[in-house]
Amino acid sequence: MAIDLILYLLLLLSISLYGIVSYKKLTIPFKALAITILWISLSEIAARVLARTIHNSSPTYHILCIFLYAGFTVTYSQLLTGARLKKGLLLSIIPFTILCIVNIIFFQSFFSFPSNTIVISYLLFVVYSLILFMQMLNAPKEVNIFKQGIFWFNIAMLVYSIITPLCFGVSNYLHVHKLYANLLNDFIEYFCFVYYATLGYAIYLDKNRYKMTLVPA
Amino acid sequence: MNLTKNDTDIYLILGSAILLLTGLTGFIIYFLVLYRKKQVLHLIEREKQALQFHQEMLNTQIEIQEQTMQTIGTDLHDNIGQLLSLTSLTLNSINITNDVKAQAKIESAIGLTLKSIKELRQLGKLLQGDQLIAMGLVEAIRHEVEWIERSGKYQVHYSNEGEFPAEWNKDKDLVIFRILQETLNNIIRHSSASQIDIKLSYLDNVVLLNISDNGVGFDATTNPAVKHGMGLHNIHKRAAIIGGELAINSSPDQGTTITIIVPYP
Repeated sequence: MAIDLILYLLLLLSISLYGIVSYKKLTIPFKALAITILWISLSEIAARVLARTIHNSSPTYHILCIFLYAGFTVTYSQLLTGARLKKGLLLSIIPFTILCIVNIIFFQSFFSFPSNTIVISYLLFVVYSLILFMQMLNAPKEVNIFKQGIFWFNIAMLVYSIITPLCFGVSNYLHVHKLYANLLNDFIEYFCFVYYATLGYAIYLDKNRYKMTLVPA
Repeated sequence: MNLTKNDTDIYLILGSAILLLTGLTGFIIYFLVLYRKKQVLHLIEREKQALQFHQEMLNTQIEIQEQTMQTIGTDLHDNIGQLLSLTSLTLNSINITNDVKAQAKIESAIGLTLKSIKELRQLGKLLQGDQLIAMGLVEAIRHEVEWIERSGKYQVHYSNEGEFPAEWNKDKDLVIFRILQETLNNIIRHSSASQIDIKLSYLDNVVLLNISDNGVGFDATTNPAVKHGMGLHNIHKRAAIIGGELAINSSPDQGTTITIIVPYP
């Protein structure tokens, strides 16, 4: 197993472990985030196992996609204010799950990578994160923004949700034209590192939220 | 130079990627700048509010002191002044040749002097001002009620319900007490009431002060005093600065009920 893959899994497991250990001290949205990251870690391990045994890890991603959407949507629903918006977000999990099933049946089978549903979920995350940014602007906190877990979580989600579909597109192009894709694969790998590290940092900040100092005017 | 379809595609992808990343970076920088601006505005606003709150608290304190001074002035003139005048008249009218009558008048003068001393002591308590609030809202109101009753013009019924928290909120106590004073002033000046009911209750972290009278009342929906009258305007403002709410229920010849609800402590 490549060293970078081991490091990647170790990072995911450490964040998951940190999330579980500090679970009680986290706010509700970050509790949902900690559970989501734990699920991602387990799925990534399962994906590697499947890749080694049946040489196809796609089934894991079909299931992960649903849980990923549900986990992040619950996180957003807890972070966003407005009863109707919260309810709408939570209800959206149902049609999304149906969409995933339809995708498996008609478009991308259980053994193909579910890029359709993943791209759709990322597009929705972009919308959610923009709404959250707007909410943050309307009700600024007195804590330094770089010490706010909500900021790092949202920025990670926005950047990742925009860059990943772009990477899918480029990767697809390179694959179709049988071009050298190692550079892109490395980029995706390091990008995932940064993404999960940022989410971990967001959890860390949320846990230590009481120690934050106020910003001077 | 002829571009193949492959070249066009790769340029299109690269162009889109650069555009997207530039837009994303721009958005993040713009957000951070805007957030900082809003944060500063929010802090300034909060400081303004805090300053306004302190100013209002100071005004409240001054008003309570003024009210106290006014009560003392009235009492000195109407009560102690009268007692001392009567004492002086009694002492002046003593005829020392008539021992029996002189003795009776001296005893009467002593009685009047003792009564004056008692009244002065009562007045002294009122001068303590802030200490009145320090005794707690329940006691402070009881003290205020005693002064109203002394005039003999009003039948005042005061009751309190619920167990107040061990820790008092001095700022809120001060404002609630001032609201009570202002309301009682309004009753004395405008209502022609003979009966006043004051009920102070504490339930589920909320203080509820209910003051009602059997006076002339007014049309709460049309009377401009409700909106513009200095007293009521002040009461509204004061209730708001401590996060409270005010309800006025009144109609002509039906008396007036004022209810103040304040989250407490």
